Amino acid sequence: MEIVLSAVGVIALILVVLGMGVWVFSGLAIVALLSLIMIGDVSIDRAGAILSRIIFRAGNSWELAAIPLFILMGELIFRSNISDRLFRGLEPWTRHIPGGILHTNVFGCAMFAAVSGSSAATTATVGKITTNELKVRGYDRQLSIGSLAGAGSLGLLIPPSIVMIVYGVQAEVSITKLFMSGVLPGLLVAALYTGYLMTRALMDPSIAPKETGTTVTKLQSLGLLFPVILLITIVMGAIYTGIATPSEAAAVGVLATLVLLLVERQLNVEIFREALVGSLLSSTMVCSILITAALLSTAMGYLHLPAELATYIASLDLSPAWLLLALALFYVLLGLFLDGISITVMSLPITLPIVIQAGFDPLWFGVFLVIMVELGQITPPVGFNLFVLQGLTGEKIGKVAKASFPFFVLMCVAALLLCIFPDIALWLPNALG
Amino acid sequence: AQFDFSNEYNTNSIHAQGDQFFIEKVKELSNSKVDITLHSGGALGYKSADHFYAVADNAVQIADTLAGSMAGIDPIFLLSSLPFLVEGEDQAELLYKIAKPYYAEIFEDNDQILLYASPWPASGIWSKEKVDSATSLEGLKIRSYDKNGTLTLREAGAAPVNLSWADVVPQLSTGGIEAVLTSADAGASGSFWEHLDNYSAIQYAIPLNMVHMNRDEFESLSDDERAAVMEAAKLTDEHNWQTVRMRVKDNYQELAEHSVAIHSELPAPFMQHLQESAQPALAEWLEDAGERGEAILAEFNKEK
Amino acid sequence: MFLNLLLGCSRLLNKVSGGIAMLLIVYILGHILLEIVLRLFGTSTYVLDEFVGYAVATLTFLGLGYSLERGSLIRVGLIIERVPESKRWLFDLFATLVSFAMFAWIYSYWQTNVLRSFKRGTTSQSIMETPLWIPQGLVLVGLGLLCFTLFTHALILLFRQQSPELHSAATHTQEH
Ligand code: NA
Ligand code: NA
Repeated sequence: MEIVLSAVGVIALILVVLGMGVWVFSGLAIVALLSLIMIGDVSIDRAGAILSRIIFRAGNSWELAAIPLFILMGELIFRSNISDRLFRGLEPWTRHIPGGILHTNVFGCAMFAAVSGSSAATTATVGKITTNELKVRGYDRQLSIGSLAGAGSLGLLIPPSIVMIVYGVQAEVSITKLFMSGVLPGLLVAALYTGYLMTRALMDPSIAPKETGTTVTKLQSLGLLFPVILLITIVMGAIYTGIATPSEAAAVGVLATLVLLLVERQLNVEIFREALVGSLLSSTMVCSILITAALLSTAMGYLHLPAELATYIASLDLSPAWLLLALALFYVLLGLFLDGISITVMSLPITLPIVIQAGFDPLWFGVFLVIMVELGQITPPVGFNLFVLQGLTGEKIGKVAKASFPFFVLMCVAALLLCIFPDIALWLPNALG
Repeated sequence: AQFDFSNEYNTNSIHAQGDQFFIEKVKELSNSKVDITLHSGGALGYKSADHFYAVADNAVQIADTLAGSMAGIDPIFLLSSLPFLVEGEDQAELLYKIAKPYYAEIFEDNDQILLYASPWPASGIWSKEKVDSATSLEGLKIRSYDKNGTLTLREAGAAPVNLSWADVVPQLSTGGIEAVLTSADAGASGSFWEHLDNYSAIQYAIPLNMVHMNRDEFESLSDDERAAVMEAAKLTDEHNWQTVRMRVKDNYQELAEHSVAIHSELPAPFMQHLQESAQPALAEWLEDAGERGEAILAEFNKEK
Repeated sequence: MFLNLLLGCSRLLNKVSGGIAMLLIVYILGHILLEIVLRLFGTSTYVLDEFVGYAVATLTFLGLGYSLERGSLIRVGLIIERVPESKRWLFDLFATLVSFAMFAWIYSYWQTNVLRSFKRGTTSQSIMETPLWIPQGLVLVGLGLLCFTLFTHALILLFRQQSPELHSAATHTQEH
């Protein structure tokens, strides 16, 4: 019971500190400190030694580098006419689909997920291009924010994926196979989102206004879509031919965007400077929260909280189905206040043996875990996609969270389908070898 | 007493299993009075490079640290990862016993005690094509794990690259790199056989991890508890040196099951070429380590 | 007068550090591209992940004061938005003061560590043997500037009951 009290204590601290209006990045650091001292009984000197070291370690991270670069790519595209051409080019293709270009969020994220390994980068880059445009065109705000929050987390499910690499190393599961097993579940989630958007649009056509303005033919639209398709092809090509590693892909993306804009005479010093300012502001916001979230997960580690919760689940000796349900609840609970990588690293030493003991395939469990981690990205109080969208749209976190809720439910449906039909994940890696 | 123990490696790694062995021994010998929690996989947020001062400042009480990652604190820590210095586990154990007082002194000077060592299985070359000659090494794009490996491989004519461990498998699958310098063990845990079919057991080095503890925390224990910790450390040291020998056998069997060709009888000219390539790295280390380095090597050469 | 001087200082310093942070983004881009090209030719800078790691940490901390001034660091509006406009500065002051206390406290511990790295000449384990006090010190500078900015803002909130945040071009997508 003591663990549950600690967990409740930490969540209460987060709600109070963030609720009082302290910036999220400093609020998480404060909660980490208070948790260590008040719940963990750590002396103030030890807490200082712990947190100051972790703050440097978490910031000093090669994996974070993709974030400023992908955001820069989004800023450059946003400041050119490429984003406008993208929407006009999509119009003739989506005109007959209920929901219209609202689907750009889902398709855009699914495509961008294939070049980016993190969900924060996916949400920020696609969001930079779509949120404003969809608002100007009069699409339903709730749906455009929610679908972006939900689809942005595809960044982790569709390869490449940072969380899958972390899981693969920890669980000694082939990363290549893990990447393959994420593809179909990723497409399944995207399909569920698309289906939901269509249903909503059929029920209430006003959420997606009739596109006005000059329409183009499908042939002409290809010309308009060409720049974005070219950029994604170049970045994917660089990764899948081995020229660049997934962590380096963002740099290739920025270079390709710069060259494209130069060729099209859309680049000047002023635009580049503005894009840099925008990229600094967004990446400082995202990276600082990721860094102080690492302080919070370190504090949780010292409280032994994830480990003891997992041990408790192990002690219940549940049947496989109930075990999965208990684990799902456990991961959703951790997802409320921890980030994906921390959740993976801190829980696996205990959950993985239980899961294997119960007869689940570790490859399959990797995909299940990624979906659980994705759920945490869109739940308050600490949800990275929510933070990114709050920064992008200026909407209140409560509104962003509420808009994301249907997509949270759909992701749960995807997890349920994955449990009933494990082959959604396992078919592709088995078929390919 | 309750302690936290930080470790960067996954639960099935030889290091985490050795640490778990230590924790159980401590528990047993202290009648459950000393309770240690292992945080494997870097779950507390520390990397090996953070451990030395994290333990000195008592941010964490015990840590399992790659010796090479402390080379920037004292060059003596590079000793165990020097290329081609030891031939096999017996010599590696001997070298450790000779150097142990020097290691212990540095920990002592920084408010810590050295508990035990945890050796890695010997590192070799995982590759697509068989690597058994200077020619086959020529221009080979190979991932090395530390400074000495980079210097030695470059000297030997290969093209060593610097990649984070997370990028290794994606780069192997796309052909960005053709080979990896690491142990059979690490390669097995990363399922390297999906991309690479050869393992050349060049016995490059048997690097050590060291497990160290904050001294104030140690001294705050009762006499019996301290004795229990020291006895458990001694047992774990012995246990680890035995395990590493068995681990290599198990790894080779696993490799064979996945049809990886193991090349352990390598031509003498090739080995000589590698050893010569390691000379600059050795010379540089001797210069950095000074008299202590010479004293250790002199004794090692006498006794081996 | 004194407040204006402080605010002027803080704005100037943040402008400079923001500029450096932006150059660091360009540097990261350049170093990764260089590494990709070198790898094609079978060589390497050998320090990519190390140096890029330092750069990311430095740019984040140098960018914090800059972002704070421009109001682009997010906060949760649960309570603030329900408080009358005239009382809002009290919440801003609270947030500023607790953040200042938090980071000034972290600063003091981190400073000890940077000094130790400097005195002992601790280096990284890479081929470059980077003196660690340099990247650690850059993060310390960022933390220090963040504290200075928070301190300045706290004084201004206290004496003028008004937030000194700028509203720059970057916030134009954030209008409600
Ligand atoms: Na991805
Ligand atoms: Na969450």
